Amino acid sequence: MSQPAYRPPKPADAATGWHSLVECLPQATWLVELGTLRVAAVNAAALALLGQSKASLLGTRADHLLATLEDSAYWDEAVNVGPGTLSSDTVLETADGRTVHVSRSIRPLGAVAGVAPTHCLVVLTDRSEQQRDADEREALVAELQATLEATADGILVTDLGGRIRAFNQRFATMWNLPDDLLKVRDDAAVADWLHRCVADDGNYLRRLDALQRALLLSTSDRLALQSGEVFERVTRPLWSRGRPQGRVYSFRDLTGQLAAAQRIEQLSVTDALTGLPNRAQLADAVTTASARSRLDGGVFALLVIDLDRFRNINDSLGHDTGDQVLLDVAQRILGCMRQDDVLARIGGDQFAVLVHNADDAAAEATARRVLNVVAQPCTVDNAQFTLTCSIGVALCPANGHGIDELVRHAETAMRAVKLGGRGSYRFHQPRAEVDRRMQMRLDHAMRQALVSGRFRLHYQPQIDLLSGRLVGAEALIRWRDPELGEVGPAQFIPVAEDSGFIVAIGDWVLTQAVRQASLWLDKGCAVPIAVNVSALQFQQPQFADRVAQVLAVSGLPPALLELELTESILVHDADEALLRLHALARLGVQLSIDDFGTGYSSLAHLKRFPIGKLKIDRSFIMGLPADENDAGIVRAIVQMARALGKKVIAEGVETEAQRQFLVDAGCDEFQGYLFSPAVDSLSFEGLLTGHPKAAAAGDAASASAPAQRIRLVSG
Amino acid sequence: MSPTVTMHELRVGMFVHLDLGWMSHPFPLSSFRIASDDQIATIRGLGLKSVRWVPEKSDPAGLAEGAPRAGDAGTPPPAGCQSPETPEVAVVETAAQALARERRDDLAGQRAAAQLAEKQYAEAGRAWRVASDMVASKPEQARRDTEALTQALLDKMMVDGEMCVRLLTSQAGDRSGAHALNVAVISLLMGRTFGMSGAEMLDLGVGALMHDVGKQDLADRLRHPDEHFSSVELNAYREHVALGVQHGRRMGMAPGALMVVAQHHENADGSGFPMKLGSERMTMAARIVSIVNRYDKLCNPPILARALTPHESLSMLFSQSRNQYDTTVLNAFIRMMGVYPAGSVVQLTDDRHAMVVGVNSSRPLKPRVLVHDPLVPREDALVVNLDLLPDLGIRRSLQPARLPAAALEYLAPRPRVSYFFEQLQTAGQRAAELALA
Repeated sequence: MSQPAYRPPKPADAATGWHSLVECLPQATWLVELGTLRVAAVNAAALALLGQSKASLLGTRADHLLATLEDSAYWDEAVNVGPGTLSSDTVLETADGRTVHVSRSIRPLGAVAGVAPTHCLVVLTDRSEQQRDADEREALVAELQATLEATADGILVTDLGGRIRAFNQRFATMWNLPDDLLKVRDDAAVADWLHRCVADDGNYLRRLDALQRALLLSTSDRLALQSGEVFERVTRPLWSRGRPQGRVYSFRDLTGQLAAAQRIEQLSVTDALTGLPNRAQLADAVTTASARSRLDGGVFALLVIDLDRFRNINDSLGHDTGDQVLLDVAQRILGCMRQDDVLARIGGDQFAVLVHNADDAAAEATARRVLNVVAQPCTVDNAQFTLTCSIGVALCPANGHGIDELVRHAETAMRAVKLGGRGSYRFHQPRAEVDRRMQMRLDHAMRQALVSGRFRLHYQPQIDLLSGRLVGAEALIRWRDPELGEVGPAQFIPVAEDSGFIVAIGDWVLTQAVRQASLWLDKGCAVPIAVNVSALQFQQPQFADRVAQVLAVSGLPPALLELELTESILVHDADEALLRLHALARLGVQLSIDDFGTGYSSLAHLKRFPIGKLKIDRSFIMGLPADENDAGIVRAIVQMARALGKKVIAEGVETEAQRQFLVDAGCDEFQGYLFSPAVDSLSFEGLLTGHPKAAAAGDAASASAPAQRIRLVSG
Repeated sequence: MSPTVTMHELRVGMFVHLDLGWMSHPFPLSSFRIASDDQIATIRGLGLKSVRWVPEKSDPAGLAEGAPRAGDAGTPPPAGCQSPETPEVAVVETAAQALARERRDDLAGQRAAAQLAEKQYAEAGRAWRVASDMVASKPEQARRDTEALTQALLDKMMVDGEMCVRLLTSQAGDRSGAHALNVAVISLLMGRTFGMSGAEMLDLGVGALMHDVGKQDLADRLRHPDEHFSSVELNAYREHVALGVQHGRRMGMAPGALMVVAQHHENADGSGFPMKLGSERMTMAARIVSIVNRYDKLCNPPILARALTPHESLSMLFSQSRNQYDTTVLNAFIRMMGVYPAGSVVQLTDDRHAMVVGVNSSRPLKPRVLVHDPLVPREDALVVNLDLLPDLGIRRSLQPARLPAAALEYLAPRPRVSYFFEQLQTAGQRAAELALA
């Protein structure tokens, strides 16, 4: 069954039908009759949009209703050429003067089978909201863009695939992007450019790849560029619609900041005058070296170098010259060091050298080199002079690990050099460095011991080598502590010297010894008694007075007291020492130098000083007679003493061979186990009474058989 | 290098190159096929000893007699005796290849036309500058040069066939020169549509080229009115009209040209200056220049950021200032420039972005546009004629700054628009005739 063919309505009918159609459409619509260009029908939506009544609208000319350039041109064309279609965005003005953004489309109607269109349908869609959104969006984008450009950081926005979505001008400037890269949107080329700019490319790419994959990661890191610049890179995921859409990178140029920090760092770790590392940087270097030492068991040395009498230069030539000298010295020391070793200035006239991979031999070699270069004559401001320095050496790990420990040890050793006469080096002596707690305990116990009378004196006989007669005694301190047991002087004397307690101990020894000698004298034995005097004690301003007082109290003739001084007393401040020595000499006491040969006595001083006797250090006696060096030294000392008109005594004599050597060398006296160790006063009295001849200092009869007698005693 | 012929060897049908600036000869193009003996006489009058010619593009029929023989001066065989390969190539060419070739040819044609217009515009710009610089020192010479420039433009323009506005893509020349030339070119095209006589056209052209000559006497900052101008400054600015008339008199300008200078700021509704004349007291030439001048200043203001797009400029003239201008002239202007004048950036009804490059005077809503198509390289971008595509139209015009970055780069709208003219031809003709221009 076939349906009848569809017949389009006649135009007039069509217009009637279209009227209803217009009414039905939800959008603002009106119908324009082409012949007159007048509005033939309009719907309620259009009336509402335009704010006009139906009566006023119907019959209005279409090109007046919407009077834009486009509409005008459309109707012009519709009349002259024929109606086409128009679909564009435009603005209309409502009756009350508002402007409304609309999209307007015009279509001809009724063109069928050769019949020209009779009407046009104008349909408007209110775009106000859309337009508002677009304006809002545009404002937002403009704000964001302005924000992006207002920041001092370079900003780059990429999508999830790493493609560039946006960047600000600062980004382009920071990365120095070439102009043609800015014009052409070539992400690969930009990425390649960035890649080529960074210094560490392998890591850079890996990192970028990781960031690309870890969608949610927020990071902050640093990029070093080939140019030397350093950027801080902060990245955050870009979220939108509840999921990551890409990534925002922000780059901040840290170059200036880092340079400033580096400068500050440099200033804080270097010495302003010499530019050398300061104590802090030395500490870092030592810490590093120490850590490596723990790992690989390597060794290194720390030398503390103190210029001798530098104050004199500052005082006499001024600080500017002093600074020049310090600079000169720093250069000299640097010149004799290995590249890797570290020279630091750690005090006014104090330097330190960290010598890598140095055992004691290497450290010693370095110390000698430093002594040598510092000792070269130097000329500053036309003044020529010669400097010396004192060097203390501490070894790691033998003497400790920490910077403080090592520096303390090296400084102690250096001070020992100063006391010993300057211009030399000395290694830290581990034995002197008893455990700190032990030291404190000893110090405390010593003070207790003095109060409780636990110190006592032993006396070692001194024998005339030719006559074999007992010609004197050295008073030696002994201490038995109830808890510590017998404590040797080698253990506690250094502690007492460190703490200064040595003055009190020395005073006690002096008093006791003088009293004992006085007692012996009362019993008819005039035994000269030798007492050790520490440097600190000697330097006490009232020392000579004190000695006089002790002698006066006991009534001991001063000639029976011999004060044994260390060489360091003589070199420390020779003029001052000379004054004191003369004061003591005027009292009539005997003066001798203890441990002779280990320090740095000046012959000039020796000649001037009122010293009657030199005691050769036991270290030279031990090797006798086999050791040629020791033998030579001993002979030399004896000859020198002779030349200076002084007597010589040897200590630590343990064998007959040694005694014989000393006799042959022309030494005057000796003390040691060969004859007797130090013994208490009662035993000593036994020695005195058992050898009545010995007691009589003036008895020349016993001089004929000294060896035999000695053999008897020791046997 | 193409072969040359001497003056007495010229024949109708020869395709010749005139190695002269376009202003030095009256032909619309410097390369063309000689169509008449009159043209041969004109060429002989140019004072050349010989001209280059292209045998391949010459009409063989016209060359049957007296043409230089093959072999003379290395001349290749005439067009009729082309090598036999050519037809075979044509035979084996597939439809797709043919399409591609046509497209290539068309593109080449478009490029050649563009280059020609740029070249002529630049030459005219230089001529204007020379004339302009002589206004004070040699006023009469300046006038003669301006007339010669106008005449040269008219020689190219007053030929058979439709003329249209061409948008230039380069930014050659100084701004005041560009303004004068823009105004003159569009005004002359308008005059042509109004059927003005040769003398009227000459006055229109000279007046348009020199309408702002009075500004030569103004300080720079007074040359362009600003909303912050005080009344004193505004009066000083407006004085340029009177100053221009004085210059025009010294130059010996024709009265018609002088009226253009005097009335170019008058408005049809009497709201202009300095005389507040109404439309009826303005000359036709002045009415034209008044509109074109206003339009160009909206498109190319001294401060670029305030520039309106050509479409916006035209919309503004239309809606806000409709009464200020002669309706007939304004309508003619719109018909010529189109609702979307060349240089307007638009979005099409299919949402693609495009730039208007040419206008169909009968369909002002349907211009020719360069469409942003990411799939086509920019250098191959083809111009789409919306007139031929009933379903595609322009949805809206927009500021170049609002284009998406990719479209902006692709369409590359210029910050300033410059116009020249060209003969409206079919694409095929253009390609054939301009390929070697």
